[in-house]
Amino acid sequence: MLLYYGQVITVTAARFGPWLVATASGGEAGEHSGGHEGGAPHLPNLVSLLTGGHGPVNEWVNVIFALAVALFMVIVAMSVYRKRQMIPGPFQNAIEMMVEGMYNFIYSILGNDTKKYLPFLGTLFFYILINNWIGMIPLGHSPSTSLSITASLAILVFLYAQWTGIQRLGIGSYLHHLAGSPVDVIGWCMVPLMFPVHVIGELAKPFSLSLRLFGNITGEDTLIAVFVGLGIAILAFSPVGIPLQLPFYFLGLLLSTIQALVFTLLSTIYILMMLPHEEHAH
Amino acid sequence: MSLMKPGSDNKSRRDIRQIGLYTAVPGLLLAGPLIGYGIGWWFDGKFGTSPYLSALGVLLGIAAAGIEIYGLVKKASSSENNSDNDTEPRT
Repeated sequence: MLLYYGQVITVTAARFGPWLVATASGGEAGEHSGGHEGGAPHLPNLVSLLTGGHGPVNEWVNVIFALAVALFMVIVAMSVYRKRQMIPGPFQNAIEMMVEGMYNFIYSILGNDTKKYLPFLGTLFFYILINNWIGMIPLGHSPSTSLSITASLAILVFLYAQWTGIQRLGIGSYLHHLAGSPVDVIGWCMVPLMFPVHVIGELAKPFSLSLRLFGNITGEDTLIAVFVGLGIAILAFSPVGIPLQLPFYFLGLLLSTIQALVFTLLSTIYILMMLPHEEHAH
Repeated sequence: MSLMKPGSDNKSRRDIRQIGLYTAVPGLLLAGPLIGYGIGWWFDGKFGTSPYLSALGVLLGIAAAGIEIYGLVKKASSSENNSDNDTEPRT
């Protein structure tokens, strides 16, 4: 199976290699692959293949793949929900295992609030995970390599956490929390200093979340693209290409999963930090 | 759907949480001063006080990053202890 996957990658790489190599050197052919001239190398994707790398559609490649992932998740969820049975089949069983795993993971942080926040956090995890993995499928492209996509997700988490805080604490307690929860006179005197510090701290969270995901997945995809290019360059000395990128797929699978988990874990902790203190002392 | 015991497989979950925490720290250390600088720079442009508010923003950003990291580690370690002690099955 892995050998087959490796062969598919190699054949795909050999087919689209000239585009990739040209993209890496910022040549004219690079534009056909939808690449950025002189930028980091990346593999051609389905959109750039269909459009030949021309036209405004290429500017929307991240959005197209992000929507495709969302559509895929909706179809999977609806098909499982509609055909759900008391004694689950293999497909339902697999999905239930994933949901159970996610529930138990979030339960260890949020406790009794888990059921309320699981739909958002679980969807976030699986969406980011598939977004990260889709770049490793031949002709796929990872939307997580776009800062716009990762920033959108981080802003969503930021707004959700702030909304949760306002909803659960009330606007007065929420502002009290932002002012550093002062209890004595010294605390209240420190409010002009602590308020901007806490506001900056709240803004730093989505900033670091989006940069981390974007940086890691971009680095991982670039690494794979560089090694595909090296595998193709070997064609100058060898009759067949070598899938040099294969070990990095395993690294990519691991890192993608960790990044999706880290994003979800930190989002969960950010939500937890907004909950009233006595409610999450389970 | 029956949910398995949340206390099971604690070690692997604790490891994952630790990975998450350790990777969050440098991100926040970077993001805090950057956001502080951005806000300070914007106010400097608005009031013509360059570079004082930018510098103040960086200092506040460093303080904000420190406070956020402290809060993050505190919350995560307390939830870690909760998960270690939690052996109640959930159904």
